[in-house]
Amino acid sequence: MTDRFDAWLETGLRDLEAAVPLGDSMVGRLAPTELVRVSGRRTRSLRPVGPLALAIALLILVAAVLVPRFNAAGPAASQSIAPSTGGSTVTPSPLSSAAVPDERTIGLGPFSIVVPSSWHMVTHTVGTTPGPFIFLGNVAIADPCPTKFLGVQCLRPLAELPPDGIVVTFDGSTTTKLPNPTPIPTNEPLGSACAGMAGERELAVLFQGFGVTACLRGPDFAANEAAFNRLVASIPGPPPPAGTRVTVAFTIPESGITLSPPGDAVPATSSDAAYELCLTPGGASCQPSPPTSIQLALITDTSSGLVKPGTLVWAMSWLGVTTCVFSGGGPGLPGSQAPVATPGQPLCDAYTFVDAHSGKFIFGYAGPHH
Amino acid sequence: MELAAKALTDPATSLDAAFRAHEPWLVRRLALVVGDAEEARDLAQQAFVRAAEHWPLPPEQDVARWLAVVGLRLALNERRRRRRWGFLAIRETDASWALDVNPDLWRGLRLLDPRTRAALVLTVLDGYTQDEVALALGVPRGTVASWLSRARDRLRPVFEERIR
Repeated sequence: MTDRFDAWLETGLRDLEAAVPLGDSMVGRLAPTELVRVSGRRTRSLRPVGPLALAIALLILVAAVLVPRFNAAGPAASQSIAPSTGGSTVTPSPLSSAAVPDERTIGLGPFSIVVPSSWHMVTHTVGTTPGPFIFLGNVAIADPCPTKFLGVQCLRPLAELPPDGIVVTFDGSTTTKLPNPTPIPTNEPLGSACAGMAGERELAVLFQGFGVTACLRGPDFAANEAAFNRLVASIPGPPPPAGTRVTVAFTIPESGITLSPPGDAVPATSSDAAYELCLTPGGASCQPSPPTSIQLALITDTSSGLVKPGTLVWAMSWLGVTTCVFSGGGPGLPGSQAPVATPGQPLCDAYTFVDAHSGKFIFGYAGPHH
Repeated sequence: MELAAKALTDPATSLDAAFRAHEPWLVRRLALVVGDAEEARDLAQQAFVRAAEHWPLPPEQDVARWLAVVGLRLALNERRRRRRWGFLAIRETDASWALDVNPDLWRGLRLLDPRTRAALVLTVLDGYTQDEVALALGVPRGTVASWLSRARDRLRPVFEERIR
């Protein structure tokens, strides 16, 4: 049995290894001699434009079209947010009613943020995966790489921050994922990009889908830190659905997974805590939208054997979604809404199971929509 | 691969040649550990950046082994990087390539932490001893042994279910 197990394991690993998609970008990938020229702390930005980067760039361009002020003076121009023009999608949101007079709410793809009205904004349209795409600052800034990706210098929208200056950088794609509903900025070690702008302090907030960093220069940090905190706090996140109990046993078709009523079982963790795993990097594999439901149930999985029969779980379900694979974790789009299917596009039902006693992610399943 | 690796330890051999020779398998190997092909490509590229900074590697250095160890260490530091850069955690993990091939094993592997997957890959696919894995990953041999034992305990039910 052991020999057979070893053989099965090795064969399985080799099969999986052979199936790893190398991607079209392999041919066009930068050679090391090119890489080393731009190497630095943020080597994540070194990839050449590949399909995903192109997709993100396309989304950015779409966003730019939807937000005319982004493009009003070209990608390298620094745009003041203050003057509002007709036709702009810099739209007041419910948040704006609470905004103080010198602040403005601006729409960024699926969500909005509040920033001081005097701040400037530029988009970075020559992206990598997932390079910086929006810079905000209280000083004049410009797209550092308007035509060509040049490595770490693309993270610096100005040569030098003046005293009391701040530059905020959005990393990643806001179009696909969701912010953490309770983000807390943290002090980070000063990165090379920030240090290269004469920044003296760096704050960061990590959301599911993107990161936001603020590079600040003193001596007066307080006002800009407050502005950054306000910006971060203004990003809305969707509340999870309330946890319920499965009342009638049902089997997820073609999965071998059955969810049964939990009876009087009392979970040691809450449904909110289970959902929180979706918001935690490496926490749980979830769909990029709020779950349809979070239900307490006893699970039996006859197909994989990955869970002990009768385990009490929080079963998060996403029914009729178009994303038939799991993200590495992440909540849904603000205020929303599973992606809308296009004609002919297959729909899926996805489930994520969290042990209701230990609070640990067990596994996720996605199959045809029923 | 051994011949290629030996040839590539020749300082005269270009780093670009090493890149062409080694990146595909390195990406595949790292994808098994981190579970995401795109992330694996990112890590492999970072490993080559490190190689470029140290090039040429010492003659006694096996290029493939050097890359594997550096790449795996980068992968195991992923959690720390994720804390710094949230986007790394948010890329959609398109595991359809794995689910199409061996969904049961893949789901079993997902239950293991990355260090255990790394140790498993190094021993099962590369034939490294536990001592060598311990050296490569900077942990005691007993730790590696416990990782591998736990991994086998986790994966054996998957196998037994398959043959039932």
